[in-house]
This record gives sequence, C-alpha cells and structure tokens, in this order.
Amino acid sequence: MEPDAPAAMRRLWSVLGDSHATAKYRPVRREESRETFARVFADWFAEPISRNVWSVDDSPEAYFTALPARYRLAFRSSNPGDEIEFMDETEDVDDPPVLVMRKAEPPIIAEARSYVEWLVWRLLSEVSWSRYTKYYKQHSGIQGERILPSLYPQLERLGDGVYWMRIYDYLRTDAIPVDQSMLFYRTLEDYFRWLLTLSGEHLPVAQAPKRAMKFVVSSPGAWDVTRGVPDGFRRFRLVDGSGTLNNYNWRAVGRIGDVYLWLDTWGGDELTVYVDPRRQAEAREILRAHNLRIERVERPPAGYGEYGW
Amino acid sequence: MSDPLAIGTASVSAVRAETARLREFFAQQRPAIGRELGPVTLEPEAPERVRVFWETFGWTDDLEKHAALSHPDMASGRAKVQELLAEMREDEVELQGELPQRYRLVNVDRDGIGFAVTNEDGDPTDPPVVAVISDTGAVVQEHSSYLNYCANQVVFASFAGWPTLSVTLSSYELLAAAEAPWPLLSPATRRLTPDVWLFPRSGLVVAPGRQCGVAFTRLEALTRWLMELPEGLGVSVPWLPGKTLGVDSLAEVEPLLDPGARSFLGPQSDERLVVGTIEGRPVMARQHGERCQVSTALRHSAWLAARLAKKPEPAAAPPTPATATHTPRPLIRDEELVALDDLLAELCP
Repeated sequence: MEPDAPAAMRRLWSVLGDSHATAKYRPVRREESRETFARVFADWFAEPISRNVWSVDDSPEAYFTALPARYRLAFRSSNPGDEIEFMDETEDVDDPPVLVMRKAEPPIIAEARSYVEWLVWRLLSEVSWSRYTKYYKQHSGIQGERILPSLYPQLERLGDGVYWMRIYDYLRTDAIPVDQSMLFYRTLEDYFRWLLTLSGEHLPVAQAPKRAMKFVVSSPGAWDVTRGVPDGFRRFRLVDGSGTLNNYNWRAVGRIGDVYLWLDTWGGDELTVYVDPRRQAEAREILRAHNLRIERVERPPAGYGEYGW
Repeated sequence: MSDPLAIGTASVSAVRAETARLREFFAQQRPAIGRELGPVTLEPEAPERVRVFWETFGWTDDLEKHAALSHPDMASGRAKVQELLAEMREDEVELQGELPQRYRLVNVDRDGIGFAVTNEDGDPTDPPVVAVISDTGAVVQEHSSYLNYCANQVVFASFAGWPTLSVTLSSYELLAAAEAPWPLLSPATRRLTPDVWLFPRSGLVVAPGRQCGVAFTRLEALTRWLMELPEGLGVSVPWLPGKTLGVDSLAEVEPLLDPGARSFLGPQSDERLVVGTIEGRPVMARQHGERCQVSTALRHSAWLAARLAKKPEPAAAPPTPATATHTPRPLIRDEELVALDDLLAELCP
C-alpha cells in the first residue's frame, strides 16, 4: 500500500494474512483502482442511460470527475458490474468511509462510515456464507463475549465456535441488506452442540441452518415432533422476528451417536432432517435404522466447503 | 422487404453474416457480456442454420440471465428438461401432450411458469418452439421460429441500457420501410435513425407493430425523430420519458414552443401529444383527459420548472461525491487485530 494510505487500513492488513479467506478483499493500490474504474466506465459508457444520468457526453473519462480526489477500490473484482464500492481517502483520516457509485443512479452515496467495520463484516460474512443462520438475539436474552470491542463491537462469541454479529452502521437508503445480523459457526456440529447447552427459555430463538444437507422424510412416526420428542432430542417451537411463538413450526435438535441432527416440520406428513454434509452417510444409516424413508434430498449448494466446514 | 420469417429458407451464408452483425451490435451495447461470449459447438445433426447461428454468435451463461435463453447444447438442455419434468411429476402434474422426439431447451421461465423447447422432429431448417406450462402440463405451440426467438431476445437484451418508450402509431408502414439491420433474424427490428431504434419487446414478435418498443440514446434524438413523422399519423405514448412535471393544460406549454413543434392525436379523443423544443431544448407534453404533464431531459428539468414558473423542484442531483461523516473510532488494539486473524483462521482452517 502507499505510505500515505489510511493508518487503520495499513495496520489491519499488516496483521491479516494473505489467505484464501482474505484474497477478495486484499487492498487495491490507488493506481490499480483507477485502471479498474476506467474499465468499468468504458462499459458504462456503452449504455445511453448511464451516459445521460451522469451527463457524460464525449468520453468515459468524464465519469472520473464525479469521484473524490483520492479513492481506492474496496475489493477486487474482474467485473464489478452496475455499482462500485470504494473508499474516499481525500480527507486525511485513519479509517475512511466507504462510498458507492452506481451505473445509472447518481449521485455517489455513502455505505459505511468506517472501512474497518465494513471490512470485518464483509470478511466474516464471506467466509461463513455456508455456515450461518438467522438468530433473533434481541429476543434471546443471551449475552455473548465481545471479542473485538475496539475493532468490531457488534461481534460476540456465544459459545465454542459459535458467533453472532450485527451489521455496521449501514448508511445506504436505496437498499436493505437481506441479512442485518447473523449467527455463524465453525461447523454445523458446533452450532447444534451449542444449542443443546441452552436453557429451555433460550432455545426457541434458534433458527434452522441456512445451508445444510437436508433429507425430507414422510410419515415420521416416532420422529413426528409435533406430537413428541424423539430420544436424544430437545423439542421447541419457533420464535419469529417479532418475538412471537409460532404455533405451526416445530423443531427438535439432538444427537444420535456422534451425529447431530435438526428436525423441522410445519405439520403434515413431512419432516426435514438437517445434517452436516460430511455426516450424510451416517445420517442416512440412522434414518434407515429408524424406518424413515427419504422422499427427497436437498443438497447444500456447490462450494459449501469452500472456506471450511 | 423480406418475408417476416424467411430465415428457414435463406442461405446459410446469409444467416452467418447477419448473426455476425448481431453479435457485433450486442457486444457494442453490452461490452461486459460481449467479452464473455465463447465458442459453441453443437452436435453435427443440429439444423445447419441453428448451428451456424450459435457458432457465430457464441455463448456465455450471462445470456441466461440477460437474454432469458438456455444453452443451445442439446444434451445439457435435455437433462434440464428431465429435471423440470421430474419436478412436475412431484407436483402431480402430468404432461398433456407429447414432447418432440428431438428437441433442445429454449428457455426456462424464471417464475416457474414453464419452459420452452424446439421441435426438431422432421429436420426443420429453423425449428418451431413448443412451450410446456408447469402448472397444467399443457404443451402448446409457442412460436414458429427458434432463430427468430433467439435473435429477438438478444436484440431486446442489447437495449437494456437504453431509455425506452412504448409508442403506439396509427400505422407502421413508415417504420416498416426503415432500415432493417437483421431482416432474416429479427425482422421486427428497425434502425429509425442512428440514435432511435424500434425493437421487439419479446421473442415472439415478427414484424414492426405495437409489440415493439422504441429505444433512444437521448431525449433530443427521440423528439427530433417524432417531429419528422408525417402529418396525419396518430401517435400515443402511455407516459412521457425524461423528467416530468405536472401542468394544468397544454396551453401552458404550447405558447413557449419553438417553431416546428408537432401535435399528435392519440386513439382516444381526449389524448394529445405535443413534441418540440423550448429554447432549443427537447420537450414533450401529454394531455390525457384532465391529466397533463410535460417532460424534458433530466439535465434540463430545473430549467423547465423555472420556464413554466413552477415551484422549482430540487435540482437534479449533481453527480458529486457523497460525504459520510467520519466518526473518530476508539484506538484499535493490536491484540484485537491478531484476534480477528485468529478468528478467520479458525473459520478457514
């Protein structure tokens, strides 16, 4: 990075390793940022709507007049597309704001006051995209340990390998992030194991994993969690985002042998069984042993284990 | 003018030449996608014109999203169709007709309404398109030409970055006589001027008409073209392009217009469109019943409001950088930087 790059940015990246986890967000030099902007602006210039709204008549170079005097691309992308996130480094500050320039919608708008907070959220979201779930912490009464109080105070460690974080102060008004907070975990088993330590009062705020290996079984019999609790499981009903107990969705989390399972049903004749994709063979065997017939398999998306399991 | 769908009988070299021009145009308008177009090799028994079209145009998976087309390879398309049919069976929907023996996937509706395939039974030179409706299992004839369908979708996608307007004319003869850049592949498309085009709004359009839209680079180009239309032609638009302002009646606007402004009647007696310039700047105005609006280019909107003595709207936001208040943050402790690095390592061993 340049010697005059923002101090907090330089300190952060002097510690973060150069790994697969950080590759996409490794800092881009200002000169390289300009080259990327030039490529993107050439693409935007092909589209009359973009030219009109940015009043760019003769050359894509004119887009540059909208940018602050000093800027840096927020992350690497071969094709940033319809909007570009970048830091405004014009002011001599330790931790610059993150702004967004959109192809067809001036003006440039602010996204985050702090690059550092933006980066921590992005890095942790990126590496845990396949290992997270919603979690209505405000209804849980559970207080975790703040492990980065000066760096990212909205991050808490809830248990061994289980974390929760809330998004930074999100300034955009043109879009609402799908996930504004998330519970994420090292492995799916860490999550299920942690759930089994919670009190009966706290358990209902737990949500099903966003991604997992899912087996849909019919006629669950003894595993019909609307009626009872299978051996080795704890049963609960969903608490939704407003804090209301849902009367229809029953869940159970438990362990058979050393395989953790999440059972989920909205009534009827179907039960969905969530399991760590690495344990799918054992899970199939468990279902077979309990005379449960798999009707449908919903596999985790490609790349589930890209950053870890 | 060529027959609307003469592509099946046209020479293969003519199809190749038109496809090359279509690819060039598409890549100019959508450079980020155009750069990704890669080679396609279809099975040797594919209809020759179909093979020539795709081998000349090329393929990128971006076309699925941006042109709503599926990869033309027969094997992968058939596998996808089998998946879709299995989903229908799971939903207890049975096919109400036979699929062709030989088909390739044309597209899959994003909203799950259904999918379309070609019918290549009987070795057609340009196969027709058959649609399957997911909810009912109905198998219906969708279109007579796969290549026209594909070309129209690509043309439509080409104009995604252009301002567009629905324009209904009382006659399309004049437009039909304009330059047709792809008379075999997309006979509905017309280059009305370098900056104003008539384009098909769906894959099914075979000739200039109400199913076409008008794309233009700048409002000035559109108004100039409209002002040169022949007398007596009826023109109707459902809304005005550009930045609009409400006015009480056209009488507020017409006295201000430069000489040469035009007035068009719509199909309804209470609809009138006025097109012209004020002080050389493009202006359109539309009266429909008691509703009356006037519009100009975004960059002239503050000027027009002032000219009409309207309460000035907030000026069109100049493209200036946003400011995010910098809030001094607590000093970051070194051990927390290490803790973050450790956390990433824990999550990504």
